[in-house]
Amino acid sequence: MKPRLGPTSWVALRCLAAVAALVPAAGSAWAVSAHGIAMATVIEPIQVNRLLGLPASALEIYLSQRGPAGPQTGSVLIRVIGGVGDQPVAVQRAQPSPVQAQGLVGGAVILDRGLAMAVMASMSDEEQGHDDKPVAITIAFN
Amino acid sequence: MKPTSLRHYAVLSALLLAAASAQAASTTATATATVLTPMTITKNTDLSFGNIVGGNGTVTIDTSGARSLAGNTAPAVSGGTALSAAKFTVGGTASQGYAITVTPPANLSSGGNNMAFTAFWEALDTATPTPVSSGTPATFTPAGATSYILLGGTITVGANQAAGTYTGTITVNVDYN
Repeated sequence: MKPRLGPTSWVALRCLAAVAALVPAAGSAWAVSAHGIAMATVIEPIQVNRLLGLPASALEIYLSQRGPAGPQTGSVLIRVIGGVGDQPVAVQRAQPSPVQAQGLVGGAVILDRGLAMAVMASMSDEEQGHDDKPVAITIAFN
Repeated sequence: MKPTSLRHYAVLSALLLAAASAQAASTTATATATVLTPMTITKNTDLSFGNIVGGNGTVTIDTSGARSLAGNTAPAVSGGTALSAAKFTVGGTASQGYAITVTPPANLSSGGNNMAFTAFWEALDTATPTPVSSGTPATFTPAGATSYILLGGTITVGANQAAGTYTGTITVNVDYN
């Protein structure tokens, strides 16, 4: 025969159930959240594959990289290509001093988004000596 | 009732009382309660990768906001939004550990275009980053009432990644252990 619970026992059981229901609620009641945004901007590179327009000096390159943000300034990325149709073998940030040291011959043209330029570079190869290689230039302005 | 019986009852009662007091014992228990300061969390800074040109590679922002590249070049260029790691300030009770749950988006999205995204973070007593480029600590016990969660991430940039501003929402949840 099953033991029968009296009214007092039922009240006690209900109280226990209520407390049990509150325990997990109390834990999550402390939880707080905040939201942050992760953001990246992919910009369209300007591809220049031949000499264009006006000559560009190393100073102009320097100013375009170092000037305040605007349509005439930005970063220049030189993508060195081993030969026509080859995939890029290396990418470097064009810095003023290497540009001057390597004696780049440049041309420039004013585009809608600012100064663009194309250069031919005399690349230095430590093992095989100096060699002229075509370069493709990706220019990304602010 | 006879007087003799009454005496017997009185003696018996006295004996019972004496026996009861001889077995009495007591102890003490301490009731304690710790009042915790309700937790708070505030986002101070979003995570920004800045401007990027498409390329097969990854771009990482560590918890100090420094950017690094890997793989076959995903050129990152100057301009655009300033680089930054995400920063959250957590308020609560000193020396009381809490759990950290971060829910990052699988991708940063721009329209129908995506870049895979992974997050890492560190929790600190000061806002000065270590910094780190990996790690997903699940708990932290702050020394003081204020602590910080600095969050960085890595995105994978495709060779022909479409131009656009890619965003995703990161949720950071903290809860007392």
